[in-house]
Amino acid sequence: MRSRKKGQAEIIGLVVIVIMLSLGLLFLAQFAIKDAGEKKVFTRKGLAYSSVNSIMKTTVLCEKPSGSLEAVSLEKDLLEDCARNYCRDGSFNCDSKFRCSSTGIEMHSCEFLTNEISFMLENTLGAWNKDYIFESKLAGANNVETLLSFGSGSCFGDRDSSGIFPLNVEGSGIVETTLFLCN
Amino acid sequence: MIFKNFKKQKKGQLPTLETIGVLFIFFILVFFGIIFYSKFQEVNFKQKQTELVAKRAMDTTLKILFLPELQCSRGEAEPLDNCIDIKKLEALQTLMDDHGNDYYFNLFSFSKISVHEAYPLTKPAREPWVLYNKEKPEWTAKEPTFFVVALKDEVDPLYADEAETKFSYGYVQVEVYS
Repeated sequence: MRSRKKGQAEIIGLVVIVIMLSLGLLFLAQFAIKDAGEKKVFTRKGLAYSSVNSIMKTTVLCEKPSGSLEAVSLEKDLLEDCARNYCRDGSFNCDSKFRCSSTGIEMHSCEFLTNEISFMLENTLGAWNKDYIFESKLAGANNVETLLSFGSGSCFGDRDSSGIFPLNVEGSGIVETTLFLCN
Repeated sequence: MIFKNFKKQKKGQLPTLETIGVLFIFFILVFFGIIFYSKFQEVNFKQKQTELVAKRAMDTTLKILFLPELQCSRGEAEPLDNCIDIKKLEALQTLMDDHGNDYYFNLFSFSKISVHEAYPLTKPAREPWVLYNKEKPEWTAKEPTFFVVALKDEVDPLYADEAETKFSYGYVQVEVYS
């Protein structure tokens, strides 16, 4: 009877220890799992949005065939021109209304946009060690075609989007531009 | 009689030793617990401090983005978002000299705010505009935050006769001292 009581007391002691250890572990887990990502996501979303928003507002000097310089908008002039005169074979070997140049060689609007936007993003987001994917898609009546698509690093999985920036191009469809940002 | 007393004493000593042993282990566990908790609190405190500095940097960036002195206004229409007017920026730079220690110090505290033009590249390249710079004496940490903005330039020498609006791509850099 006495030894049974002693055994029971030991078991109770063990149970108390196990409960205390479990509480300790739960306490630790609470701090370990606590998500600090909320602010990060907000910042990333805001940065992605402001990047595309600023790109769309940007104007560049584009040389006219006459040789004079003209200020053109990346969105309203060049992206629209790229959507209207998009080469179906995926190359840049077709005509476009604007033939801007950054290296002295005149380029198709889509090629110029690819070069310049990737330069802009590489000098900002890339310099701040952020991985990204930039995409502009033309949503027509029957199909969706990719006009511009480039990025840096592997930007899959945990990422935030700028949201879609739509541009209506009469007769062609809607150009939807999105920037995905990781890290 | 003496033998009987000795036996009783030995019997009484055993539970006392057990109790001392248990208490010893208990206090060792409590001691380790306190050490662990204090270390944990120390790390937590440092993390919290970093988070607070990052939050202050973010708040300062937001203040800059919505500062009426810099926003790209359009008459009575809503101002353009994520846009800084270069003319206003240059005017504010001179205003900062007079009110950098009172009004703007209350807004930005110890920080450095600069605006950079990233595209298009001009020759010679434009120097960054340092809008505000108040370095904290003996600062220990600095948290830089970047935010992309469009820079509106109303009058450009190239278009002086056309009065065309030009937008360039830039960013705001906010460094907060702690």
